[in-house]
Amino acid sequence: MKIECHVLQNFAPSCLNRDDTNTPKDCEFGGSRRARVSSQSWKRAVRDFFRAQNSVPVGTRTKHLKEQLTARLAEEATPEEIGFFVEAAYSKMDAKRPNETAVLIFISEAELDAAAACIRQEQSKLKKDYKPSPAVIEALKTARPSADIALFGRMLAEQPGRNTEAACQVAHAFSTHAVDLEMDFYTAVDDLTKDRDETGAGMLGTQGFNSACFYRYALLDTDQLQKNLGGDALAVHTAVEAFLNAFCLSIPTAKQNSHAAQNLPSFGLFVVRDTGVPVSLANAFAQPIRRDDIITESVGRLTHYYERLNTVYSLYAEATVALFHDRETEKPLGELAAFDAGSMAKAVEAVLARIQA
Amino acid sequence: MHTLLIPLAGPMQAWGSRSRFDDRDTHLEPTKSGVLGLVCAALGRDRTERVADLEMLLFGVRVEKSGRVQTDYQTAQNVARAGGGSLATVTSGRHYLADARFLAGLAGSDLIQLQQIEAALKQPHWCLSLGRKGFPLALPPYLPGGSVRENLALEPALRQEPWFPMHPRERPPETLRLVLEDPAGEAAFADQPLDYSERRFGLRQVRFCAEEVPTPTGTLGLEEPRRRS
Repeated sequence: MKIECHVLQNFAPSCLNRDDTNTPKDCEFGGSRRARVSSQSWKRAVRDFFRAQNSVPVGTRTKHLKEQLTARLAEEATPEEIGFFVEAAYSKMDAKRPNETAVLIFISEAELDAAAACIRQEQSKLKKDYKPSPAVIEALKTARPSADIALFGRMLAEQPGRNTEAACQVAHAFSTHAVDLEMDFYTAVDDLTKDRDETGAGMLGTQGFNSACFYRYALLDTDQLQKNLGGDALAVHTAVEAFLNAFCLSIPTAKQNSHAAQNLPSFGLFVVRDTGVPVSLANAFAQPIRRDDIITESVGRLTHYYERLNTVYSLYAEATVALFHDRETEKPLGELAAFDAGSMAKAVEAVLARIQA
Repeated sequence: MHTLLIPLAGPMQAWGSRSRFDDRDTHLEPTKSGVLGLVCAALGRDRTERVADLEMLLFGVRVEKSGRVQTDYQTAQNVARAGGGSLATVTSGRHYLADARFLAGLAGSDLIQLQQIEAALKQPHWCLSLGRKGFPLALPPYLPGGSVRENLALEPALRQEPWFPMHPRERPPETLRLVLEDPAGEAAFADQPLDYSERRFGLRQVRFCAEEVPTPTGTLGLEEPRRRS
């Protein structure tokens, strides 16, 4: 099954995601410049949300694999033997730091347990040219990756058998309206200049920022997720719930100390389907919005485009749809008003009920 | 000869063939390897499987809207260096096409094969994307009235298909650019997929031509404006 997440989220002035010129990222769409937050930036915010909420076990990115395994195995194997195992099964050691791997390994708790178990088993064979047996390779391969690895994928160049294909796809968020770049000219004033009869600032600078109503889209493939999580239906359920909450509630932290733009979505739409092709509703905003109430207008445009897609392609005829919103009336929802779950929690529940059925 | 038409639309698309390491390029139109990759994702064909039956189809593109090349500046922190030592932050320029739209065509003599591909595009096995995973489709990859043009070769199929606007104020360009696979063509693109798992691609000769926008312009019915209450 595939779960589409469509979100409209308006932010106060902020600089959520910058490019190499230190200004908020942008892109062109429908002939006009739009604000953009990159896919990778929001995926990171989701991962940090998982960690902060402790909602799902997350993997650890580390070069200190040998140390982690030594701690788990206490006296059962020497650090040297563990080193031979790590080199054979994960990555060679860093030339300048022999206790660290040369590359970062993204590994879950379950995988660390599996590695420790293999080391215990193979302890007598752990010498300089150790080659793991097919049984060991299989055990490492089938150990369960953590939810974030299962969702976002992993590449392990030296061990391509343990690559994980991402189960979710996150689009770059872009504004539903045209956005100009705004510059904040700031000065930093020396606290002691007054006493010294001097004037003027200690430092001058500019910082780009903007305010935008973003259309955000993500697609979750529960079949791929189930495959990544070793067929465990309960783990899939937990991961989907965690992802939907994180996608809606997480906010990138860049420059938030100076902007504090903590703004939650005004509209969220979940579509669960096992037939048909999932599409982003981005083209609802191909013509940029030019009205006063940007948020309500964005909701209205999105629902109208949804209705058009349904008329032309029957795209949602067999899908389960649930939404939540914070608008004063149901008018902008059009035909979608029937799917108003009343709250984000209830909309998430509707999705979970469908994937279990 | 029959042709299957595949609309490709999304706010961001990237179709690369020349990238090295952390600078990721894009062509100005979809590549044959990229679109066949999308077809394989729809069919549920893993990248380790053979693609000879798809690779022999002829591929062409009509540029409905050319868009603009832009760059996404991506950083990855705590990346190990090849020579060891302290961790680096890698900066990567990922070029993409903003605001572009295409009509791709796959032509072959086996009608059943093209119909199977169309059916897969309506019910894709894996998630589809426009060149990179973060670039989802904004339109289904098929035409609502049917995408297969029977007894029509690649070039006439792409030339004759009506152009449609995406929103009420969109005007068609004066001419539409076509990039067609042709052994006698003047340019060579390295996008003939030989083996996806080993990332081996061959050269494909292409020919450029232009078509006046057929009038009247068509419509998908998506661009009807909202009735305001």
